[in-house]
Amino acid sequence: MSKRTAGMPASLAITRQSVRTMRAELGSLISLVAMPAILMMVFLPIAKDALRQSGFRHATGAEQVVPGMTVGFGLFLLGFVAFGFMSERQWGTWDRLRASQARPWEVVVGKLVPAFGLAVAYQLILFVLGAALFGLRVHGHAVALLLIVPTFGAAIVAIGIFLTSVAHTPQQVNVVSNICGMGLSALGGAYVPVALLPAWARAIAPVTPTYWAVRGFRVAFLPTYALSGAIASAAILAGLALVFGVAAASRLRAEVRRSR
Amino acid sequence: MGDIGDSAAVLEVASLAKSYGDVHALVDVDLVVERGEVVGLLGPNGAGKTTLVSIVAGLRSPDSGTVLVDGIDVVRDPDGVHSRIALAPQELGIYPTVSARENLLFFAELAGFRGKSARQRVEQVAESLNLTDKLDARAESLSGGQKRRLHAGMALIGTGELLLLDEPTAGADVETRGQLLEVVRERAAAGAAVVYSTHYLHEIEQLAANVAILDGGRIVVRGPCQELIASRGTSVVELAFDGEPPHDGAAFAHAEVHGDVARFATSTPDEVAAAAMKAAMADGLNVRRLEIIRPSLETVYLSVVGRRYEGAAVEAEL
Repeated sequence: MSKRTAGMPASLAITRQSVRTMRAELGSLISLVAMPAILMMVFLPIAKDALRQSGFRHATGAEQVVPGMTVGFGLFLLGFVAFGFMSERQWGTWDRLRASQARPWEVVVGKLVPAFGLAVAYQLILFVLGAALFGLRVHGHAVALLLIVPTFGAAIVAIGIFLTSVAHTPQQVNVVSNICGMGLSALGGAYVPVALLPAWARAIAPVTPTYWAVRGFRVAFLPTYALSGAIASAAILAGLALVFGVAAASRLRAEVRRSR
Repeated sequence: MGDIGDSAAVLEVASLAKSYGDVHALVDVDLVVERGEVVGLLGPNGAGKTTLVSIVAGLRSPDSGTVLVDGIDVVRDPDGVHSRIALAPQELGIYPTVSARENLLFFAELAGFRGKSARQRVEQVAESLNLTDKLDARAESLSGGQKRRLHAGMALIGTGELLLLDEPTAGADVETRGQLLEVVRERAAAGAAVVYSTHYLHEIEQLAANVAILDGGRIVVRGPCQELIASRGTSVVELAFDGEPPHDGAAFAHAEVHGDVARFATSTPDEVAAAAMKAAMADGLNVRRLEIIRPSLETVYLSVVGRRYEGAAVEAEL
């Protein structure tokens, strides 16, 4: 028998396994990059006109469509995060994990780290793609990117886990993920600037995480916006992440207690 | 039950009770499993086998009683217990979208192996379960038997002192069952305590395991397989009729009748079978099936529980 060595932290082992299972979903992830890239191309001229009419004379349109589509399609990652947990139950591996040497917090960390990494990497990939294909440039505060990318990533992960805690089936996750992906994105100004939305939509836009993410990214990609706007957006996104994270943790804890 | 704190005892269950609403899943269960011992946990569906295994694994909380693994209380210190157990749950639990190797490697890493040591451990377990050729195949592409071996391998890859195998061969082919039993024997020989829940009585006989029969949430019999067969394993003659069995006549005076089945516990099964057939034919009754069950774990079960083991029919087909 092989000699058992000083162990790898369980959270690291779970992270590695989560990455392996994500890798198996590479096709879906590629489509989540290809679809927004196509829509960026389609909406680029419209966004360019809209931005120029708003006073950004040198805008290419990429400043709106790239972060907008990134935020909009980023919400589809909610499904990935939720499936990361739900599939453990579906595959019958959840009880094995619970009975393993991994402590509960190690299981959560092991699942969250790759989900957060995916959410951050997804945004960066689309920004790099936007820069390469559509001329996206940072005309405002680069620091805004450092603030919004991780906080929006954290919000996606937290909402995804909350979704896991309230949904009973993968189908329910799919429905909610799709509604969030399309609905919240449209309302939050991911597809067209909030200023162009009808009055009722403008009124409710600030309750969506997409609104704050898009707003924060405008500070990075468009000139004239103050950094304080990105700081406020990041704070609100972090707050959302905290609220959904705490709610999810309490629901999951209650569920484990009931199952015993 | 053995004394608490006995160094040979890996698992010590005392006065364990668990209910789901009005249903008493476990009632005052005591069980001690020592190092190197295989305990075959038998019982009909709903007897409490899976509940017992789940509580020992820390997946469920008992209503009362204690469970110690290596002297550590599973309720008070589940993390301390988890490092000492390996569980193969009843339901298949594998990651279907990654390879068999990645399934095994993950549980090797969780068990504390890393790097080269983890990879070697994967090769060892795969070889012992005849999965070497399939290591790089996606788990979902494996056959049913291969998936079952992988499922068990994910538990066997650790070095926990207590192996909890809840129907590990359910639905598996004969080859798979043989390989799994061999590995279980090896682990027990290496000092692991094994709780082996199964529907297949022959497996318990092949493992020469000690037996614990659960019925209605209680352990009704506990002892070495061969001793139980020797002391309680009277032969049984069973006749199934088209219609009701005869209730009178000398040949059926000592029969137990359940529905259309008449059953005789006897030390002279051949003579009793002949006499019963003769009497049935004389009465013009149609015997659909005649079966002589020689002394075995099945007759022990029959004598204790009063009905045939649920897995017996399935077992006969395999």
